[in-house]
Amino acid sequence: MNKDIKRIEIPCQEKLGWKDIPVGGSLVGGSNSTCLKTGTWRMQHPKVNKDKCTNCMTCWLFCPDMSIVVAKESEKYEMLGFDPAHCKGCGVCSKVCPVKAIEMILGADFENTEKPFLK
Amino acid sequence: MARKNVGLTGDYAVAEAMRQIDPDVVAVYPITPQTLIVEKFGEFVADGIVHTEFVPVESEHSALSACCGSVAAGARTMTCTSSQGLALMHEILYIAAGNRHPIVMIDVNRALSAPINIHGDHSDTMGSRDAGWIHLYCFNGQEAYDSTIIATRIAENSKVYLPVIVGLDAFNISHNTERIELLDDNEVKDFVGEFNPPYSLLDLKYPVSVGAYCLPDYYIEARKNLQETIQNAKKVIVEIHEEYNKKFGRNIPAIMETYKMEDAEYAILAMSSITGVAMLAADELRSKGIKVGVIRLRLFRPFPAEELYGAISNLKGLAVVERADAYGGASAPIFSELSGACANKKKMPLMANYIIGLGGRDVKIKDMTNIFENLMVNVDKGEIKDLRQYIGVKG
Repeated sequence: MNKDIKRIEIPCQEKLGWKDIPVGGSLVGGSNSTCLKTGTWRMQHPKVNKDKCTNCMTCWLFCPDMSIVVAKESEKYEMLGFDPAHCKGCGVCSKVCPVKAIEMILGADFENTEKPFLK
Repeated sequence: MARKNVGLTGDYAVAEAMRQIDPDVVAVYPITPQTLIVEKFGEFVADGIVHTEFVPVESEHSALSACCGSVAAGARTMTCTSSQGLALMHEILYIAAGNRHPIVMIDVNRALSAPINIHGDHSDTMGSRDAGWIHLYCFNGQEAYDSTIIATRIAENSKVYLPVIVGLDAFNISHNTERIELLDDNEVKDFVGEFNPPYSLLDLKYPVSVGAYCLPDYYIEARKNLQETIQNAKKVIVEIHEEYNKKFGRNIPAIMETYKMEDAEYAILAMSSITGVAMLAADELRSKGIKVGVIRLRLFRPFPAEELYGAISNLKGLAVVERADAYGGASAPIFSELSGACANKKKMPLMANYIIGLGGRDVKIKDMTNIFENLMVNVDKGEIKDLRQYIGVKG
């Protein structure tokens, strides 16, 4: 392992010039995909009915993009909603929900979500 | 052990160099006329002389894919192929260069199908010339042996980290036995040193993703980075050749060899073994008082534009003699490269393109003197009417 070569250690470093590209375009470290804000791809958005939701975490398990926001309280997990910066609106969560608590609604719904990623 | 002189074919000489380099992984598929390398190296593996993990794959596409995997894991990796094999590797050639995998590949230059042919010309490597690999072309078996060792150092240099193709002509070099001076095993070991890979997939302290997807926002930056890296590699290539020549008393040109060019008015520019024939033709014409010379291009990628221009700018006429053609193209690869490189130069010789020795057709001294004479006649007229001519073609 050559310690002298250039690497990106900081995730989401913006505006790299061609000279800063690490050797062979390799990515160093993990969770680099959080830098890619795929929320802009969305054509429909999920909406959860918390009255029906049982916090079974099936949607969290199946989401292909880690877009299900979950909170942990002592030993209990609670499904809070969706990460608008990354949710592509694929609808997998809605399909797998065993109690049909997630509905897909046409439209990206950028107005009602945080949108720093749209800039 | 000391240095020794032995009679070896070009292929066996390369196999000996590979034995001395002792790479960690060799993934290879045999194809004529490279088979002798695989056979001989396979013997070394079977006899336990090398520590190499030998991967006998099911195709050349798999061979180079396996090489990419092994070099990404941090292993010194070599392969060899020829003709159709290189064509089947085509997809992975770009990946190896883009991911900056320092693989050394020996390619025995053989014609491409169709019609199917197993003999020598340069159409295989010329077909893969833009992949981002460094290309070195060898004059004889001795140079093929030395180039294999030099290429390992070039590929693995931390300013380079690029794959290298070493090209030797099918049969003319690969199967002809000549006197080869083999270096001492320890000399080679010391010269190539330890492989210090750019990254390693097996290094858990520094986890990396290799070959990641790249969106339009960074693809062009990555390709620009590759272009600059290979262009800047020229300096390292020259330095490593100088070091090798000094250490082992060799005289291998890094970029090109010039023969009787000091006062030449006309010259042939060619690559690999056929330049020897051109040199004999030059001797013949020199004895008649005609000022001719020969340039043997050794480094084709990165293309040494400035150095070549320096060698040709004072000529009256230049014949670019090639063992490959670009079908449907304005001219064959080296001619196109050179004329592109000299596009804005004011002082240029008249240039003509000659295609010779395709599919292993013998290249004779008479062919080369004919080329010189044809060039001189045209230059006297002040015009090259036939930009591209096939030499020795029937009909």
